[in-house]
Amino acid sequence: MTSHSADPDTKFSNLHVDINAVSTSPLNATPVAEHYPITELCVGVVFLLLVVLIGIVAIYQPIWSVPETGRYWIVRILTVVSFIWIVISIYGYYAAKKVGFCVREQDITLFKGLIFRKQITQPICRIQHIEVQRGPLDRKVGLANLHVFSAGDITQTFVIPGLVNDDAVAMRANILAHKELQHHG
Amino acid sequence: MGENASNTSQITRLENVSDELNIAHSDTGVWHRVSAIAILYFIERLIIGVVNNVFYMIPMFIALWDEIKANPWIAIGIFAVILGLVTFFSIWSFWVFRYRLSATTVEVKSGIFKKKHVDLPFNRIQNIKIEQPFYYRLFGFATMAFDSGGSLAQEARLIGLPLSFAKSLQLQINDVKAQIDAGIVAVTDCQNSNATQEHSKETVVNQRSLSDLVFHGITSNRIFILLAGLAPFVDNIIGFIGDKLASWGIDIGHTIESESFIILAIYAISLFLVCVGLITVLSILGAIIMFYGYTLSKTTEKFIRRSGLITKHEISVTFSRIQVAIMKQDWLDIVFGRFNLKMEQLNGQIANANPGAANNKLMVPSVFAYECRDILEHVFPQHGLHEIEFLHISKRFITRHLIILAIPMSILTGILMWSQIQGPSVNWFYPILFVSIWSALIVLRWWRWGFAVNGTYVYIRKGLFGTDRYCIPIDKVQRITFSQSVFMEKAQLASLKIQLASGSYSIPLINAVLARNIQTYILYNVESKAQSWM
Repeated sequence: MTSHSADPDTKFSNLHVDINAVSTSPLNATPVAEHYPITELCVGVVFLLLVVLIGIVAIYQPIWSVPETGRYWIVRILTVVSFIWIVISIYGYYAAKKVGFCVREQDITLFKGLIFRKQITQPICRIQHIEVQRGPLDRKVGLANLHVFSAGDITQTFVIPGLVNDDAVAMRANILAHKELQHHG
Repeated sequence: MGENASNTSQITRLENVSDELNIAHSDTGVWHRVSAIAILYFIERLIIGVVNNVFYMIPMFIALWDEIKANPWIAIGIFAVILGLVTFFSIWSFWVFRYRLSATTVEVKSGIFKKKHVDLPFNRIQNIKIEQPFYYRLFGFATMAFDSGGSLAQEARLIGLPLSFAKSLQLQINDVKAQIDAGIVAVTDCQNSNATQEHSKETVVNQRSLSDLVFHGITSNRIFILLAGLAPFVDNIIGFIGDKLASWGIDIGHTIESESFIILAIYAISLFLVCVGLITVLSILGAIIMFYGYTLSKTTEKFIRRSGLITKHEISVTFSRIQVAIMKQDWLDIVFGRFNLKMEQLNGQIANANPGAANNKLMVPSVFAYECRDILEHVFPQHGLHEIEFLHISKRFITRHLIILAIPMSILTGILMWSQIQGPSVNWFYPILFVSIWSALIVLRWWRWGFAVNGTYVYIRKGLFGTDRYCIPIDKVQRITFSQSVFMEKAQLASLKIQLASGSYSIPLINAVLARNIQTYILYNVESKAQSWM
């Protein structure tokens, strides 16, 4: 471990890190699986179609007649909800395209967000455990989510979505192996 | 020979201890019941359980309300049944509660339906708390809580022990722990062991007098939570007060119409002052009950806080577990020049899973800045929290929040203008006043928000009327988030959010290069040292 000098003044005057002794690569985002955004979009659209279908069936089914005001309001609410949902889904599609990650020797970074962009960096030495999570749909399309846990995780989570399953499993193994090395090396 | 002597002396002391309880037995492997006074503890616990669950019974009461009004015996019957059940189960719980001491372990068996057997070796005990609820204090009994410090805290509790026995047992366990830790076996007389002194040595760091607690009560306003709970009943309360006043011959409606504005203003102000006075008195009482006799002591590795008027509480916090220190100052605290010093461990929601152990936070109420400096020095050396100079965040904060304000305000303005065209004229004074006040608050919040970084700590200051100053040790950082929206990128700004085990702390809208440097520096520190955060 190289030593560094940090200015002990209480006023922030500089952050002196001995650049010559430290080599860091910049944070470059590696995108997640290519079919992740379209999968997310499809899920959203299918769900919306289901809701609309239920609404239409509810109005026009012959078993129990819906009063006129009921139809009026259901149609209008469904229209507004559909409109908002479609806008959100399209935004979500482009945001999902922006999801990326970057694994370096000492940390793992998640990139997310379209307009409000975030880079969340997790030092590997602080990882408590890692899970590969797959929903039923993820299994069908060969995707997985990598969920990284550290302390104090109640409100903030670190999940890399939309990874190809083999990649996710390999990343998890690599990170765990690296943690072992750190502890014993 | 040394080991035999040490073991013999341990067994001898345990026998002496059992003599104090007037229990005659030949070996230490016998299960003992505690004193019958433990029943009171179980009763208290069950009552708290019932009260906590009473919210679920409220719908039932509402449904049965009419029947209860017609036949009040039902309510009394229900109450008597609850009381009977509580007593029955408390006595049963006491009957099945047993403990056993050996030379190196304490075992506790408890539980009626869900039997629990806790086997705790002394050297796994991180901390021993002796607590005295008020119903034990009167009779000289106490509760001992053993904390094993594991994440599924295998906590053992001994209830209803005589206070002297509890204290001597505490000393003995510390002795044995010290010996086991130090591997000392060749000691003939355990009482002279130096290791004992190290473990049980406590020095008092800070004490709060009654006047300090009064200040804390004045400034802490916990009572507003109570008022918030009364909010649904406001109509009833107002109606009740109105009727009362009418019966005294005062007619509010008539008074408001007939009296001049100044007299009404005087009435209103004096009423307000009376209310504030009442709230303050209640708050002071609350502070005294909770913090009476506040003593903060330290050993080599932890703080121990003892306080309480009716029930004596003890909380101990290991230095290395403290994640962040906060000097909090409400606007009233500023008037008196005081701070409340809070030291936080794990995130509150995790720690709350452990009932009865409010160990995630340690608070020192109503202290001066120099006292904060001294107390914190034990935990965070050379912290400088009391005197550090903060840098401002970008003024973009103001613009951003004004834009956020502008959206609903423009909708409101549109509605008002439309109604102005339609019919009655709108008094534009109030919307303008609202916007001005809100904008002033935004500016004030921006002014308060500051940050600073030195070699070991990140400092954040935030607040509105009061200020909170955070001291965050870089070594304890878990994760860091660098946020930059498209708009912020154009303005070369970025926000940082630093996550610790105790929660997240953010620095919004600072220079992007600076933010990147801070992020790099924190990552470098955390990753190169890989120091334990607890």
